Amino acid sequence: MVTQLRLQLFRMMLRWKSLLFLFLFPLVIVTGLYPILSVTVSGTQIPIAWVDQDNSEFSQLVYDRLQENERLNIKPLNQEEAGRQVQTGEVEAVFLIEAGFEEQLKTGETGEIINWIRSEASTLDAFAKEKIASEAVRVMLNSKAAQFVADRQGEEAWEGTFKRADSYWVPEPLFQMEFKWKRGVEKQGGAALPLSVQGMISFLLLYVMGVTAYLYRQWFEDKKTGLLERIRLSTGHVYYYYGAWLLIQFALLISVTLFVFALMVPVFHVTWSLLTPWMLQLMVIISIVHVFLFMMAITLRSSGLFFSICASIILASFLLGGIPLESLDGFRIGKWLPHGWLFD
Amino acid sequence: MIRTEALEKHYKQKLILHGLSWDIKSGESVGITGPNGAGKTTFLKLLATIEKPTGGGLYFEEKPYSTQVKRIRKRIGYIPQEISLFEGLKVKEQINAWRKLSAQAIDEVHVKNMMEVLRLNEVMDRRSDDLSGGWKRKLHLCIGLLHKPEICLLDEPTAGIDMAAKVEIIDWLKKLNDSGMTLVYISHDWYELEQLSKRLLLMDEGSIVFDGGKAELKHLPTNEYSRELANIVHAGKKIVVHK
Repeated sequence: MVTQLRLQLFRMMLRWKSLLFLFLFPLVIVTGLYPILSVTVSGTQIPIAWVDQDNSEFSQLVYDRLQENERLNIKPLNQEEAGRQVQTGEVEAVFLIEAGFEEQLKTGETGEIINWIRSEASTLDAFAKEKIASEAVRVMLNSKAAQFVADRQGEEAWEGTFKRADSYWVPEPLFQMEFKWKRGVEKQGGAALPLSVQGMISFLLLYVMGVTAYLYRQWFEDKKTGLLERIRLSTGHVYYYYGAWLLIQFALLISVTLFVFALMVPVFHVTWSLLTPWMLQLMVIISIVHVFLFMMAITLRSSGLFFSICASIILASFLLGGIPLESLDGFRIGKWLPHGWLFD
Repeated sequence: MIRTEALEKHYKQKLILHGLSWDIKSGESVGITGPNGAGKTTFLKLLATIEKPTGGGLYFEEKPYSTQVKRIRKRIGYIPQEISLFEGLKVKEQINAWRKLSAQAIDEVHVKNMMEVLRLNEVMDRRSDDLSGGWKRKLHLCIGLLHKPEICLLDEPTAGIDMAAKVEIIDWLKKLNDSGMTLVYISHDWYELEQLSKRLLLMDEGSIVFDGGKAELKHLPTNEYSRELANIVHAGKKIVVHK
């Protein structure tokens, strides 16, 4: 086994150019796809206009927090331009923050602090309205708590109390309504990863599956040249050849996966804690695919048939289960393919 | 030593070999020739335990092949036509790798002797990929015979090499045969067949059409065979007659 491992490793090192390409290609893809995926994702966001006439700390705070929501595409505009864009349908709605917004929130009043302007064609702005309302309530409650303490301990306690009260909203609000997920597009737990990163992971699975199939070229070459047969005749079996092959290729595929995930952290600005469950899931899927192709390579004599089946599976997997869009959820066959396992 | 009885081999629906009855005694040297697609390589693969027959009997020392595959593999050396070596290794690394992979005990004296006769010592530190066709072929043969088999099955052992290397390999195989090794080989080269064998086997369309000595070949009629086979026999007769 050791001899086989050394030999297979040596043969792999001889193809250093292919190895280099194996890692360089995803590097180019990750950095190159980021702007495209970002644009695609922003195309699926709800466009809203933000007119800030208060220009206060509170209005800025609400704006910044809304910016973090990837479902919203917020445009800071003046009132005139915002009105024009809602009429032409460029934005779903306008949210007008009138002067006195901060003062009103500090008093704990919520009536008529934000004007909501929409057209008859607006359909998705209710989501934005809920988000804005929730952020405004958050600021108001923090402010009220801070004011309560400041009245008793002095104005210097205001800021500290505001921050402390705010800390009860992260990572999740202290009190919240619990909804039970029954059926739908998004599953629990997976929704936190930005769509652009999910798209990248989908491409990565496509790439790694392609690489897995490509690596079997050497296997069929060994069959064709009689090397495999010679090993069988010399050693009496080919189990060590198979074992060494599986181990080395598996290590290579896992390395590529780790490399791409490590790239995604700085490029897509995501944390390891979000990526790790996806990475582990991807590794399990890659292992299953690798073992499946291995069994197929043992069974099939024809390399042409092998690569045709591989190409069909990989393409079907990506097209039917690899694009995380609601419109493709109806393709039930995707659930039986690797991309379906990842996203379903 | 090896005997076949109405041996048959199918690939899917296609009949590759049919009704092959043949035998070889220890120490003989049999050259197999015939047109492409005659079933020569399949026949050799069956003898080498690489393929399994789909009909008929295949016996090694009068016992069926199927009951003694491991034993047969120890005593047989099969050298395919395609040069199958690990790429990137030097000649000495190549030999060491195959020595380590071999399940059988390797006779160091035999290996040393083989390398001297084939002059592989001269290229020990060169990468096998960089060698000429002749050297590669010699190394390929040497690796196939590392375990000092009693029977050597060779599929076109001198294909695609220059005359000098061809003569060297033929001389070496002749010496091995003289020392008692049984040879069964495929060749399209009448010079090689003439030099190496007293007994010739002519195959066409999965059957044996001639099995006999060189002298008997002179009397083989050619008009009842395909044009390709007739040409082969015609060329063979010329060389044999001239001898």
